[in-house]
Amino acid sequence: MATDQISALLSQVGLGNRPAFGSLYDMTSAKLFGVCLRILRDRAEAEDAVQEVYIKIWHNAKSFQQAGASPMSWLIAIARNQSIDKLRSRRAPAVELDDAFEVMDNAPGPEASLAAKDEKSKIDLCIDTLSKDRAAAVRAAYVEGYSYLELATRFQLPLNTLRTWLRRSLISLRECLES
Amino acid sequence: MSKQPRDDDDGVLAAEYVLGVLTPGDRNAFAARLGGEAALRALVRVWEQNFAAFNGEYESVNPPAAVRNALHEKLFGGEAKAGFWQSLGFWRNLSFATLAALALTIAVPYAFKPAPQATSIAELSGETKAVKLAVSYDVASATLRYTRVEGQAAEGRDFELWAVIGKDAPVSLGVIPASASGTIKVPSQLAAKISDAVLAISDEPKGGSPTGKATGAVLSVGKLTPI
Repeated sequence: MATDQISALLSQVGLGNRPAFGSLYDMTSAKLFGVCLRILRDRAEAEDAVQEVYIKIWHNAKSFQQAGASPMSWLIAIARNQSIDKLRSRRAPAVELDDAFEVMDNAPGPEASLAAKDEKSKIDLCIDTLSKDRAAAVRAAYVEGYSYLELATRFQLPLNTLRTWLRRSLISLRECLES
Repeated sequence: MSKQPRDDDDGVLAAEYVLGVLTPGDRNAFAARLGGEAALRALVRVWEQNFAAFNGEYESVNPPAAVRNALHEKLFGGEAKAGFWQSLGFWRNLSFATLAALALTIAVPYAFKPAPQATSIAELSGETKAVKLAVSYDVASATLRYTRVEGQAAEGRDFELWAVIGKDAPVSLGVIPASASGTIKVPSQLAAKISDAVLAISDEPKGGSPTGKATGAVLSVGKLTPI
């Protein structure tokens, strides 16, 4: 239902319908702002980022249909990309070590989000085939937007070891997802 | 060992790009390739869909209203807003999904100004085409917004809106104004309870049911669904 609605709004936005864009913003900005805030960990930067995200959405909504993804995943991908680009363009990463590990123990949040429903079962099954540490690293990389360097710091591994380790996890994941 | 990662494995590189772990240099180099390589874009899309399962971890946080205003300013400047979406004839040819989506749109009187969030939506319809409404509800402001898709009350009659919460008797939310779209304020004691209530429209004497219970035919029903 909500997915249909967001798709319908997006196709209207692709046609340059401003009221539809306003509605799309009202329905989705809290989630996308949440994404920017989580990755950037800075309110002012997240506010800037979320504006850039919607400017991209306005200009690129046309390409949504051909992308064939779920609309919420498509929007979140734009928000994550924007936030990660912004994060990497900072000089020094501003990260506190404390809040790193709490995420890693968490199962996917109880919040029955629009977005989480898409591919749930398969990736979760496949993530479970990884060791606990590796699954946590993949998840933290995605959700928090950590770089290899930050992951290496958090998992207390040399950078190259961590990189090889994560890539192997991705290969295992791919094999599992394709099987 | 077959799982030894190779630097030129685009599938893994695409996953690293989607995760966001690449260094700025590698990330930019990969992004630059995306424009010209459809196969690479497809790999990115597959990983985005795979990892979408983690999106539930992102909690929603309402951005301040200033963000919406600044965005409007950046995109549209001070331009006047187009009004042709308000035409009703246009509506009848749209699918329900589009209609429901656009209902929210039209309910916002001036296109792109600070507006409350919609937290639930419903379509109210019945076997006859007597009256059909698209409704959105914002729990924070306890406001229902409706767009009339079809139907007007007969001369000397009114449509009355009812909320059915759980197993309780229907509670009146008042008479629906005759306008094409508008808002109905929900009494504060009901505000939180009706987010997933069933809404119904009955045919009543002018001014609404005299008894506090629906006296006429129930013409249209729909359930509010939280979004």
